[in-house]
Amino acid sequence: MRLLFRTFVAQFAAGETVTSDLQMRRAAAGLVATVITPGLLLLLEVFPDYQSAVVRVHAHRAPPGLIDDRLEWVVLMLCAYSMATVGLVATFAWDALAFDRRDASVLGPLPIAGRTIITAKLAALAALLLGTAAAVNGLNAFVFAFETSDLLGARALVAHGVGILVATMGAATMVFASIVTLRCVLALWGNARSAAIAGSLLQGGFVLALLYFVAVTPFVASQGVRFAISQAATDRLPWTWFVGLFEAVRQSPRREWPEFATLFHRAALSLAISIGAALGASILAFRRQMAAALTPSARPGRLGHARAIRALARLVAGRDRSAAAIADFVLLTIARNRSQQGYVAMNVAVGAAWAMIGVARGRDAAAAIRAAPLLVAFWAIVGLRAAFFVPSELPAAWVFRVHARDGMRPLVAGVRASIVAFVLPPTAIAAWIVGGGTFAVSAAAIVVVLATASVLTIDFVPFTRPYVPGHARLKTRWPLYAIASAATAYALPHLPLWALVGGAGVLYALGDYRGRRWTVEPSADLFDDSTITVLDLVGARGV
Amino acid sequence: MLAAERLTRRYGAIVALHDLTFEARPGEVLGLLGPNGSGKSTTVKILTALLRPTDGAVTLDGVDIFADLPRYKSQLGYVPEEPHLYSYLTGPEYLRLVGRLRRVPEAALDDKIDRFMQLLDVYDDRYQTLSSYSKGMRQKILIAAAVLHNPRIVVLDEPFSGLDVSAARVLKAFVRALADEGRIVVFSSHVLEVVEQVCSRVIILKDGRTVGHDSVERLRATLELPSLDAVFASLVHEEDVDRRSRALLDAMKA
Repeated sequence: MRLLFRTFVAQFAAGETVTSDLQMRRAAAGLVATVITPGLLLLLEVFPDYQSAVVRVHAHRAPPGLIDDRLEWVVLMLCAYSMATVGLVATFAWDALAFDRRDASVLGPLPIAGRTIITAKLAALAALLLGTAAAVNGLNAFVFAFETSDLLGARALVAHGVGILVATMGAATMVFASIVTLRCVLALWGNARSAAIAGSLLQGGFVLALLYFVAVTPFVASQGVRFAISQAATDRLPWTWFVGLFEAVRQSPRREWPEFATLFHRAALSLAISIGAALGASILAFRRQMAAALTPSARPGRLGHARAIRALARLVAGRDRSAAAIADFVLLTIARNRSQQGYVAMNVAVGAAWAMIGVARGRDAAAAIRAAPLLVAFWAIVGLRAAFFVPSELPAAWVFRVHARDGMRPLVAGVRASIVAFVLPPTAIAAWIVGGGTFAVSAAAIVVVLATASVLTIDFVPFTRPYVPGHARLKTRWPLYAIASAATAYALPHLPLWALVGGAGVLYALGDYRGRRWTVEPSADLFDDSTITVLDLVGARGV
Repeated sequence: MLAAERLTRRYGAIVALHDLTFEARPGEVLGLLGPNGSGKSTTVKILTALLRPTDGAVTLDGVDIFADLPRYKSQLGYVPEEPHLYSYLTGPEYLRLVGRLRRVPEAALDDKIDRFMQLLDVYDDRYQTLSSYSKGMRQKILIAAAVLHNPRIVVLDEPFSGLDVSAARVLKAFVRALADEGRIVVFSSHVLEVVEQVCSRVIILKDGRTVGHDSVERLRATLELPSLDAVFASLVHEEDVDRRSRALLDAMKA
């Protein structure tokens, strides 16, 4: 049981990008740091507003209810933050949230009771939830309790601390259980491809939610626009329900107000339903996978073919058949592999969040709207480039080493064509909607410039190299990404079209030159397995 | 003619191949035979230019293959021992990737792929991804990918692994037919019966050295042994099979 539990926990971080325990611990620490940082920023943003309300009430310049109003606003934001971060972490472990065919084919023949396997899996899921939720909400609850019980005594300190912890952990549990349910439902009735696409979309959605929420929500709070918020609408939002739970746990008089009683009931009901659904769906998914352990998997599905994008890529690649083959390979890999999709989805979400924040907080909303398609395009290309470094079925990379007979330039052309085909159409359409035909042409040219420039930084066939952690050097190069992103969105559109086309031409020629240095040879170590055989021979024969 | 001249491959202090010299001529199937760790895979990987020899050279028509690697690769078809494929691609998608990398004319490619899929009995699974293919089906895709571009040299490493009996029979005949057409075929296998049926000449390797090199008939005649199995046992000095099997049983029961 303990061994199974550990195995299921280890599955949450498994993948071709994590090849050692050290890397796994580093990845986990990086993820926790990434999701905790927005929480700290959030605390810095919301508490000055709360403290100003306290001062105004104590100076008798505002009604006493204002403190509770602001308190609930802070709770609302911490609950939403908890849901977004725990949801994001859950989507990182998306593939391991439900039983799959491999679990069934490995565990099925072993003399282990089904109940033991299910219990171990549910315990592993609970450990992931509790570990993440505690890491995300613990510090916030501590700060919240001390900050909001000032002048109110020890009882308020405990009540606020327990209240916020229960509310935020409850919110996290609801979103986590809902994601587990969705994953199990897709395992039951969907196919691998639909599950992969849903996972990547959710991952992107949670990144977007987290960034947007942290940047925009406090702004809304401080601008005095809450009068515009409809109670009927907000009461339907799940993160609002847990404010009712908070009021109930801290025994506030407001818990008996009809609106808070309704919120509390919704929170309790949603928690019970989501946990029950997750348990039921997990058990059903286990039985289903056990029954279908060795049956063939599904067809790729319509989305997995990416026909239109591939046709465009072949068009862009021109008559170079090897380039068309590489472009096809790149796009099919992106369309069918969740590890690669996740990188693209998260970076697109960063671009979308940046664009939305610009619209919400920028001085010139019209300029921010026009910049949005280019911001998303820039980050989509960054995401694609990051995905190229993630290996896909590394042992199969021999196919390029054996079959690629041409020089390296077709590979440069193929990768460029795949980036252009992936990013250009949605960018041009969005640019046409927000800025008209001329702007769309300009945006298309910018995408070509970015794609051509990005190819200059890659010197291998995508997905065919072992993963090297930290290749993007985000820790040291983030200002570069930020400056390039802003320049793409706000400076490049002001350049005349001829300058963009000329720039693309120069980069194209550079890429062509650099293409001669490309390698189609995955690491020779991949083929050196005979070393092990020879060692076996030495051991067996005593040579 | 494909010729290996004094091939040596070292992995650190370990010598996997030692002074291996042979020729593979058009119109014949050259078999590579040997126990695990004898150097078969290393030889195959050098012949397919996946590894460079530490010493010695492989030449095609007298020219070192590494002198003009793209040209050599364009004439080479290879079936690897392990069927590592991109499992999220369908069979035709994988063959199309290979065909385009090999620059098979687009007009002929789809038709060729369809014919291979039909002839190898995998046409009904053409919309399934390779993840759902059995080992034998994957092997058929690898064989199709190896000959899709009509190569002059075909290197096969355990090509019948996982194939059912009728597919193996068809492909044995196909390998012979490739040689009859004047192609150079190198065939590496553990399965003595298959090597005996398919190969014109065999090289028996042990510890990276050649311990036998001739046609099956002449090896049998020279050593006065009734079968290739007996020749093999004699040349690689296999220890007593019965004794080892009894030791295995003892280990199992311990």
